[in-house]
Amino acid sequence: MKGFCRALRRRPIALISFIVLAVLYFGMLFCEFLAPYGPNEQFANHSYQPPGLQLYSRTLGFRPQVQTLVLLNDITREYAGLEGHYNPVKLFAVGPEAKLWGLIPIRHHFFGTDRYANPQPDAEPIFLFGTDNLGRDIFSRILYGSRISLTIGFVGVTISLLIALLLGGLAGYLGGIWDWIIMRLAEYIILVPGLYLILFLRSILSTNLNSGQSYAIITVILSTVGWPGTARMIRGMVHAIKRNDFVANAELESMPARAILFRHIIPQMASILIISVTLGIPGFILGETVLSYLGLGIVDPAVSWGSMINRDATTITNLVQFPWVFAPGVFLIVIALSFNFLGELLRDMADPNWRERRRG
Amino acid sequence: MADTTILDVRGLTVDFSSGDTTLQAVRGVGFMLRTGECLGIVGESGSGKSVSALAALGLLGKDARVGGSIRLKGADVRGLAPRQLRAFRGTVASMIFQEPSRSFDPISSIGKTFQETLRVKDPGLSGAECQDRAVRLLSEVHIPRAEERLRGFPHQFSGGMLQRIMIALALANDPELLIADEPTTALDVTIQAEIIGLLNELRTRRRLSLVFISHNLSLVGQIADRILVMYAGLALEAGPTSVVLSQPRSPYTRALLNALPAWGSHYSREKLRTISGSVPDPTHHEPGCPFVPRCPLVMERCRMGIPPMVRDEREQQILAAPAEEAFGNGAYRCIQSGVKT
Amino acid sequence: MSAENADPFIRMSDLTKVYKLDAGLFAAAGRWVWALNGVSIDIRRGENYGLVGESGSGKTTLARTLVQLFPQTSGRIEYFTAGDRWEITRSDPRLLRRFRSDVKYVFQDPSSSLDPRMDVLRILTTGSRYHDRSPDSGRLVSRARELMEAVGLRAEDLGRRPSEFSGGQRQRISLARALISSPSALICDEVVSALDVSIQGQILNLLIDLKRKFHLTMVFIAHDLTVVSYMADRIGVLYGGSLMEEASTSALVESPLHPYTQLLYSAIPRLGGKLPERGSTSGVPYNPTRPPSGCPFAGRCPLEQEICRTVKPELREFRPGHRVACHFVN
Repeated sequence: MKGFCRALRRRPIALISFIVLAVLYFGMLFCEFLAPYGPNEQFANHSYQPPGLQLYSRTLGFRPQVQTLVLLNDITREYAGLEGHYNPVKLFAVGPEAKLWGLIPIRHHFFGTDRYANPQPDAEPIFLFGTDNLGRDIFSRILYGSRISLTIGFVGVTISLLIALLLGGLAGYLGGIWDWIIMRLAEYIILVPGLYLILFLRSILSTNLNSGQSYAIITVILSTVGWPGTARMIRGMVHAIKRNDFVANAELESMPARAILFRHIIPQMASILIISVTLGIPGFILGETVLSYLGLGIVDPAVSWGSMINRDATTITNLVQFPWVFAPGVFLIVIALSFNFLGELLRDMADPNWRERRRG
Repeated sequence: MADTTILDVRGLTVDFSSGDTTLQAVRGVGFMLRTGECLGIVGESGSGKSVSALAALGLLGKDARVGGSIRLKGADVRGLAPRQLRAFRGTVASMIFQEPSRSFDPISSIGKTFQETLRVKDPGLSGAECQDRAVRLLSEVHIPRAEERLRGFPHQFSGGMLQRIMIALALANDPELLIADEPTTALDVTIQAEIIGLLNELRTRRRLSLVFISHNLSLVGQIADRILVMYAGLALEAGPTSVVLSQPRSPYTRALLNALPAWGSHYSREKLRTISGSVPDPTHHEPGCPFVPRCPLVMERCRMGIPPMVRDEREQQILAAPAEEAFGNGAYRCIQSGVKT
Repeated sequence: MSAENADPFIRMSDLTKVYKLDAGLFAAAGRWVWALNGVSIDIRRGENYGLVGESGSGKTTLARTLVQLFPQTSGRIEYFTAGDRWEITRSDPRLLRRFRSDVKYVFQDPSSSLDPRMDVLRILTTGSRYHDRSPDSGRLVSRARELMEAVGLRAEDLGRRPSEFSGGQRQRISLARALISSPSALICDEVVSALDVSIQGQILNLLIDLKRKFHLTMVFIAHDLTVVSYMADRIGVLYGGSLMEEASTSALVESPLHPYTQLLYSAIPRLGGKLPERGSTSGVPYNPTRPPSGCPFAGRCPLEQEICRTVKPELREFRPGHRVACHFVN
């Protein structure tokens, strides 16, 4: 742990990545509080509204504020600011009812305008990243969507890793016919291009699934496609570790085979496994994104970053006219890069040569 | 052939640094070698014996800081450009190593390896000439059916054969000095005896100077004219073989001699006289004599500074020739050596 | 060791081990390695039996087959205990477990024989936890502490990892681990070969101390005849998978009868002695991939004759307690 903190300090980009990830996961945990509005809360007459936060105006001076907007053109969705009408953005403002983690009801949110406390005809909601075509706040949707996008990576990787450990470990330790069967199975799965395999598996299932079911299905599909690569690596490592004398000694101490595998062999691979997990998470997140983008993943009313891209960022005209709808894509890029930098740092930390050179 | 000084090393120090840790591999060693002489360097792990040999041929990497003077046939090795250094290697001095199987390119035939080596000195040699010379070299190291062997690959030979081939390759360009770094450690004891015999033969026939590095004091005694005993980067004793082995002055040398059972002894009759403790950490040298934690004669004075190498005054009586300037002709590093153990 | 104390403890009869070399998909027919060819040795209770041989002699194969790390191709291993005689095979797991806790194997390489991720306490006690039905961990810990002191280490070091110890200290830990099940015998496979010279003596002395303290029988395997003749009461000389000579240490040291034993002797660098001037190669070494025929030493033996290549010499008792396998030793 201490080594980790030291290593972080020496590599700023990994430190930044770590902070970014910490912030995003924190945001995911408390999204009901941090998001000013609900994910499906539609604001009529506010569709495709651009992001609205201003820091200065003549009316209110230096403070975060939002100018009231008026729709000019229904077709092109052009908005104009109403002269002199500014709404201050407050911390811990009153907002719509929500339940933190589905349990604790709250009325105050991290920030917001007076719209809910003081309903006025022109009280403007605050859209940090603008709105989509139904007038839903993209910022809030990103926060709520992170619940799916950020966790599916972990859950998927964990399941995939457990399968890989079991099968790869058995193949490596038992050798012989079991090794052969398991490795051929892994190879067949690897042979099929991953994307097509995912699509195939998803398409043979019904498309009418609720969000909970589709989350589970996606996780299962991604894990199925992901385990063979890790399993092959684990199997190779088990073969190598098996040759050490301390494994032979454990046999001579009459330890049962599974105990030898889990108490002696697998722990030697601990750092490699951590790294594999860290570098694998972005892959899973993007896998879910692809599925949702193609309409085979998360569907309304559930929200994930992939489904948001699917809905709003599909056409060039949309992107050009309303560039803020690509915000979830930016977040995806940031997440993938952060996990990669962090994973690289962990991998270097486990490398004894790197540690030697940078000691001191 | 006149007697010349082939190798003259004085005050050699070698440091390796990584980050802010410095590993002092060699902390002050000197020795000299004349034509046809054999010097045995004896030490355990961490003694710096191999590093000294590599430094002598300029074979250490960029992360090594080498101090002191190293003269190979009069030329200062540290001052040579890489190209000039390469001209020395193989033609003036050669080296053979511990693991013969790892010293060969596994995908080149033995004949091809000889070609490569011979063409370093003589780029214009034809394939047939290389073959001839290789056959002669192989017979010199007593490998029968040489032509057939040249077509073979390293994995087809046993360790002992490979070491012979290695010696032949090292001598291909007629060097005057051969450095052998633990050449028999990985070999069976019966093969070891043959290799020692071979080296002795080659020494006499070619007037070859030899530096033989080993951890086995009695083995070194079979081949060396003079012995240098190293410990923790320092030379602790040096002198003619007969003197060092029969009347050692350094407690470490004495301990090494007693460390392994004498021939004919048995556990039921006597216990081994061992030294406690273990070899020191090369990144953390304590001030004073490095043998202090394990020495039976240790006194406070021993901790205060590294004792200087002192010339063995008996030298004058034992050798007829006048003692020389540099170490290596009878010297030891211990302020207690007069004490009987 | 006198013949009156000749309680057989372990009897190996005609042990043979043949390996099949893995033939890949594109290789020619599979090849075989004859690692061990009909070796018969009796280990007596309380003695130190020394097994000496060079690389390829089969000594490690013999030791590993003895504890059934892999099964032999043919031959028998018998275990004499509590007045009974048992045959040891992998097909009787309960008996094998009992045998393995009574006859412990100590490995050569201190850097791979201890699990680097476990602390010493766990290394010492993990095996026992699987043995006992209801391990009393308090008792295990105090036993671990006892053994640490018995091997010359401090009980406080139980919390450390192997990487914090030197090679010699790790071998001590290996010995402590072997002793935790209170075995009657230790099989020491080259346990000092990987250590510095100045440390080897310490471990050898320790082994003798442990032998006396715990009344151990020892099988001491090494390639160095000097060390073996110091440590052993009786010595067996292996070459090419067969026993060439077997005798009490004093008899072997005074009058080695087999040409190979004599060769081993002459090759030992001795202080004040001189190695024979023999720069030439020693002839044809034993090739384990050829089916054994005749004496394995034939290719290198100065006494070699036609019969040596075709008829394998039997191990015959030349004098009481002194067996030799050579056609020309009467």
